Amino acid sequence: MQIFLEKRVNATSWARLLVLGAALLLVLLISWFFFLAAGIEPMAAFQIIGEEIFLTKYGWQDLLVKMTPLMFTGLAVALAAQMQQWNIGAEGQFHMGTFAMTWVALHYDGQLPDGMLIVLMLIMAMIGGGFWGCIPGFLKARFGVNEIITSLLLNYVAAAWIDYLLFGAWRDPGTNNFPITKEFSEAGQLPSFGNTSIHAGLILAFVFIAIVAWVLWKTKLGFQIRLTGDNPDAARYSGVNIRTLTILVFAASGAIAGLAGFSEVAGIHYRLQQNISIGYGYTGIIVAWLARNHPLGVVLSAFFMSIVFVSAEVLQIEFGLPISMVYLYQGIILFTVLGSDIFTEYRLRITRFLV
Amino acid sequence: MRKLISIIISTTLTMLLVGGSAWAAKPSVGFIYVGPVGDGGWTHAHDLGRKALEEAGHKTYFVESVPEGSSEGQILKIARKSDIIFTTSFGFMDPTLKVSKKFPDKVFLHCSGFKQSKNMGNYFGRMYQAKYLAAIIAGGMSKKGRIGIVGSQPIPEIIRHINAITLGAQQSNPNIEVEVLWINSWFDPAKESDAAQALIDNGADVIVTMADSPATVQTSKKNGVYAIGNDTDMAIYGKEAHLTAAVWNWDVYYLAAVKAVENGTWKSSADWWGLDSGIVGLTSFHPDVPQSLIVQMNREKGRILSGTMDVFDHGFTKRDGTRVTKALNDGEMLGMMYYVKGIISKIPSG
Repeated sequence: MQIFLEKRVNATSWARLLVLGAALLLVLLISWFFFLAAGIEPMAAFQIIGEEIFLTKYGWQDLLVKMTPLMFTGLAVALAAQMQQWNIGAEGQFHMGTFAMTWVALHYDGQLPDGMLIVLMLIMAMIGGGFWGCIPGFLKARFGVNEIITSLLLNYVAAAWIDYLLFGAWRDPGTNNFPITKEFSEAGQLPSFGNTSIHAGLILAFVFIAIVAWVLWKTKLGFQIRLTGDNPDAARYSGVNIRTLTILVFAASGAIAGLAGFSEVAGIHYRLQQNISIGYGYTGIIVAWLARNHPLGVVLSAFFMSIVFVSAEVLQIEFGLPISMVYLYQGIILFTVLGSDIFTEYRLRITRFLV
Repeated sequence: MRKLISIIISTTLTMLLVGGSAWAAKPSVGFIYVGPVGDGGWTHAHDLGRKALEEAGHKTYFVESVPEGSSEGQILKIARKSDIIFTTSFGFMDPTLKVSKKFPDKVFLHCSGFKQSKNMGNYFGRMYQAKYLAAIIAGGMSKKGRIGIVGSQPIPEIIRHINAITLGAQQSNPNIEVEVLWINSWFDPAKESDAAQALIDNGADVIVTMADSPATVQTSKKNGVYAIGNDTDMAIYGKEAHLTAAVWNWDVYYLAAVKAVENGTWKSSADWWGLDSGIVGLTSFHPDVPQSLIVQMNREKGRILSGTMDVFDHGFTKRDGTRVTKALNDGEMLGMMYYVKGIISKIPSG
């Protein structure tokens, strides 16, 4: 007997949906045993998680707030991946975005006409993130340096740069010298919806999802990006300037990751401080992968990741589950969902004869 | 008629239930932790306080390892379940304030910050007093005349503690040198261990840690030097090295604060409790510590307890040579951004 993977001849969207559905069922099954092992009644756990997340105002609010930065970083990674470029640096681009926008807020707060400050902050976040994205893009295009390594390592540089500012020049003496900047005035804050924590960053995220989708499928530039991703040689012969395109795509990807920083700082914290990103840039890679690098898929997978995060908190509060168990649980869910992906392209064949 | 009876019965039952719960149940308490409860330091100390509340009959909830950059959702969830909410890291201050406005009937208490509202107060302990006393032991036990400090984050709280340690060590060893290495993290066992090793290699023979894990104690034990633990008793990780630890006894504060809310006497305030309350203290001493040193330490302790002396109230010299003659007020202590004389290192980018 032999077990092997056979490539599917035509992987239909239906097959993909079916595989995803099966993976989610498997997640439920594994969760069942996980809860049993942790001494929790599985049905009660599902019920409480479901109620807390989907049936309460706070649950929805939390889901949408956590989903916002993931939509940006997921979109950033997905855009570069459409060209088969791996931007592992969304985390650093996020930070450089927060750096650039905070610089504007600290220097021009109160000196600009109404509504100008927040727009300028938005543009600066895109420039900051875009510049940081340009570096691996340029190195790849000009010298062929592996973009995975450079974009990853630049994350640490960006984090150290933010720390340097917070522990030095940008430290606000008005807050007992803690490593945080001054709070922005209202001119530097994104509006929230009613009494909730959901802010305008969510709408901005949807706008950029739409823009990227439009560029990718409705413009010549988007066609060139996708063509280069599918077949770089064909793209080159048809006259695509791959070097310029690589730098451009990395800049755009970095700018979108920078917007994640903008949305978090101007939408929630209203100041720069440490640990604003809790790995949003890295989680963005998972979001993009789950979405198969499709901008619209990013919305769904960011929503899914948000559920994973929020349900982890519910498990802790409601059942007193230790954080290590929660991490384990998250790991199992992601492994199952990501791992099942292979079955959309391949199928398992079991034969009784040697082939 | 049957309808009327059923209405009467159900109304009575509801009133009994509602009325009953108002006085029968003790207020429930929620905690937001920045680290894991098993960190063996800061969060562990707070969790011991939570367990004391549990023993006193309160239902408690907690979330651990809450990232400071994304805590609002967790605080909201805990606030929905509990009557009193303690958030135990500086970075939770703004989100706590935000959430406290959404639950005006609940009490929020934030550790180590400075923002208050009608239903949100602050609390902290004068840990610098315990650090000062522990350092008297450290200074007396250093044969080479050099103490190494593993610094966590270069913020005023930790700088204040380092200064208190230096002044304390000078009590028992006037020429003591203090070297500080920062790891820029609250909890990073690998970095803590590296920093401790570097300090030992540079000649220190007593290592004091400001970070949350017991890695420094373990490294000191390996090198045959002494160590002072941080936040909780770290003796079990290397009793051969562990001279003593300056520890938090949060149960003292938590029981009192929750009682005040329960009795309706709580009012929003910024509490900074000292050694006399018992919120900070020292653990038992290493058998190598001579009685004379303990006597000297106890004399200083007595002066702090009686209120005749505090660490920064009787003048000292800054590292740059300027002399401070008048007593520091709380605000000056809370914003402290300079070293005292005796510290050979410089504050990073300060």
